[in-house]
Amino acid sequence: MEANKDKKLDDLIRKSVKEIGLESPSADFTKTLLSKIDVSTQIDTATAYKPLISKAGWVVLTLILVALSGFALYGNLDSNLAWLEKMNMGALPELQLMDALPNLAVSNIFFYGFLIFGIFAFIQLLFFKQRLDRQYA
Amino acid sequence: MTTMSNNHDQQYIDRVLSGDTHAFEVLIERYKHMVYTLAFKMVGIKEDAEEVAQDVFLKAFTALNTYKGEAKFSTWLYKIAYYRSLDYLKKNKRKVRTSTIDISEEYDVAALEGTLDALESTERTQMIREAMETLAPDDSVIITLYYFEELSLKEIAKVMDLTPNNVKVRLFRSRSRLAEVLSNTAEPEMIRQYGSK
Repeated sequence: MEANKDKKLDDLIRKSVKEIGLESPSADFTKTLLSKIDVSTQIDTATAYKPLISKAGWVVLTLILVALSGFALYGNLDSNLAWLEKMNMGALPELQLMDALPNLAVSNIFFYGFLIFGIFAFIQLLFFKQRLDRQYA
Repeated sequence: MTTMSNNHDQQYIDRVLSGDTHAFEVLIERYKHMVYTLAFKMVGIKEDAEEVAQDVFLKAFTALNTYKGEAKFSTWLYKIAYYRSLDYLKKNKRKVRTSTIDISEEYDVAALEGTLDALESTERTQMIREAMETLAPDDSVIITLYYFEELSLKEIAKVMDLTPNNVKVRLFRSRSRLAEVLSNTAEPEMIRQYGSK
């Protein structure tokens, strides 16, 4: 008797729940969602990690380096560097470039102030980096 | 039927994972009503439920590679829906409503069925909807998953992180509550309808 009542109740609730069906989201639910997904996949590909120098790039660079070192060590280089002599590089020290710089007179207070400003700017940079990392984590 | 739709799901999941984003549209179309319904039952506001449901699919899309196919895709998705709804309520500092109506088992199933059948269909669905709203949101979710989606007690337990026995107890309690609320509202309604004719 009890089991029968239970079964009847079960059937009645099943019928009722099926009758009211499910709620419907808005008509453009799928469209909105797909555009959000498109945006998120675009961001993903935009921010995907890509090394500045690719693997192939590294191979080429290493080969060039090896070739150059090999050439420098064992290469039969004719050291007739006439073009270097033409440039008259020997005259460079005579120009006395360091003496030509203007003499900048700065007070000690300005100097320390500038130094401390630099240190704080650097510390601030660390905090900014942390904050940005958190924001985009 | 369920294993079949699960196979079909897997085919689309594989396509999405291999880069065909638009294969996900099929999965959205297939499950949007259920996900939205679950969210609506939990958060209770249409606009918010829409937002939560969108969020559920976005989350499912980005986490699709973590779906290992151990459970049905739908169960996996409903679990996300349930937890996203809870997160939403927590974020907005709202609590899951709990229902405190005492259950007295004072109803006659056969009479109730007769009364409901005698009502006009729009009135009947309205009444059932209102009765469902008197349940606590997660009880309403249990009822929908069990009776509409026909998930097993074990599957519901997985979605909501409960024990199957706990689900069973809550299912029985909610069922009786629904019958009682319906008896209390359907009979006076029928008398009112017939009285006015």
